[in-house]
Amino acid sequence: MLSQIIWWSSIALEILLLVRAIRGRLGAHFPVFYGYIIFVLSQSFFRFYFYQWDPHLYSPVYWITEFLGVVAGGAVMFEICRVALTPYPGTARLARNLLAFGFVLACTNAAVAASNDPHRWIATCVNLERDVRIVQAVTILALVALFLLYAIPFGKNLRGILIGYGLFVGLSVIQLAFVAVMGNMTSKFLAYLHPVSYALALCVWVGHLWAYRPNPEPQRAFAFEQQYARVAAATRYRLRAARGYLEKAVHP
Amino acid sequence: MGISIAVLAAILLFSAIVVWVKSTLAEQVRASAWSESLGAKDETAGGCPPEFVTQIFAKKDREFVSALSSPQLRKLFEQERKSVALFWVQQTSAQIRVIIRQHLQASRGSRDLELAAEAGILLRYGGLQFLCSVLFVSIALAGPQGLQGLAVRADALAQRIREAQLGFHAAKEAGRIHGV
Repeated sequence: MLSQIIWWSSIALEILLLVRAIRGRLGAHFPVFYGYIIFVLSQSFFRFYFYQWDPHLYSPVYWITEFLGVVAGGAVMFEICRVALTPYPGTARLARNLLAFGFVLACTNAAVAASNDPHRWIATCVNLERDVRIVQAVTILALVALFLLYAIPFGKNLRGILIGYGLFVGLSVIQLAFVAVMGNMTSKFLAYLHPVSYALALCVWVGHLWAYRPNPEPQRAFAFEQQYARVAAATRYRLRAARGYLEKAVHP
Repeated sequence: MGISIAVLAAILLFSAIVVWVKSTLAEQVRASAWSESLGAKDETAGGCPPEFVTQIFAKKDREFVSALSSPQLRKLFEQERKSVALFWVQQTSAQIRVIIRQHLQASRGSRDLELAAEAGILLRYGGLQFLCSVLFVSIALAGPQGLQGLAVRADALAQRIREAQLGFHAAKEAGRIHGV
């Protein structure tokens, strides 16, 4: 009964999110994110079809759509970087490299795990997803650190997408780690944690994406500031001077 | 092993998101304060005047107070000197923070941002902040009297940082005037 309530409320939230996107014309600003929501919504019905009418195919369908969802989630992360870092080309390059590294690492990890035991690929899916989600969590962590460090301004919409997806990935990592060890059936709590984490993410998204809120405009960059070598050299000089005097203070 | 890594990764992620959300929510207030501080005087520039800093670590003041043979007065003097010296370290640490904040503000828009150079600068910044912490603890434990010669250097440090910041602002203003 509870799983039905969670399932239907998630679908209702997804539809609400899409309705608000159409009304507020948010889809044009975040096409990949709304593509991801449409994918998850259609995935729910797709899975439901196999669960009802072709149960022996449900497991492979579940895991294939699950991994497609992980890849689509990666694309959402790329979109967050694209929208947030457009005015900051250098930082955008750093973030893209970071994301590409995380993506390649996750894919390599998945390929190695699958090739180790190709006959039991479905059986090892939980471990595989857990590892991929950990890589994803670490990549999001690194991105958040980058945004924090460079004080990249975020609008309400984009902030909501990142918070919701981060929350979902973090809770998925915990749930998958415990399921991989204890099994899904040992605890009802663990069985519910995954859909509940997604429903929570949907609540965050609905709250933050109710209407379009543009990203704050960055202060106009000056040509002086865009010459990185000059900025870095000036900073190094100032830090070196500070260090010299501090060291002398410690060892007079 | 798997569980601990997963839980650690998730906790780190949640903590980072909480810190980031707090920071972005405070960004508007900070942005206006920051632009004001860039346009006007430096936020840490109004600290100790140079001649005052020179006196903080001077031995002769302590010797003079000791010669008065008043333990109460000497205790009060040491307390005051220590708090002023600690303030100076905090001020220096804040100036270094300003340098790095200015650097990050300036470099985030650069097209040719270099990862290695950024990492080097951030490491240097971390080292300096560590040094300030060491200095802070040393003064708090042993007092400022053991750190001879500090006053002159402190004055020069503050002066250099102030000059560098003035140069930074001048270049920024020049860019603004020429509309680049």
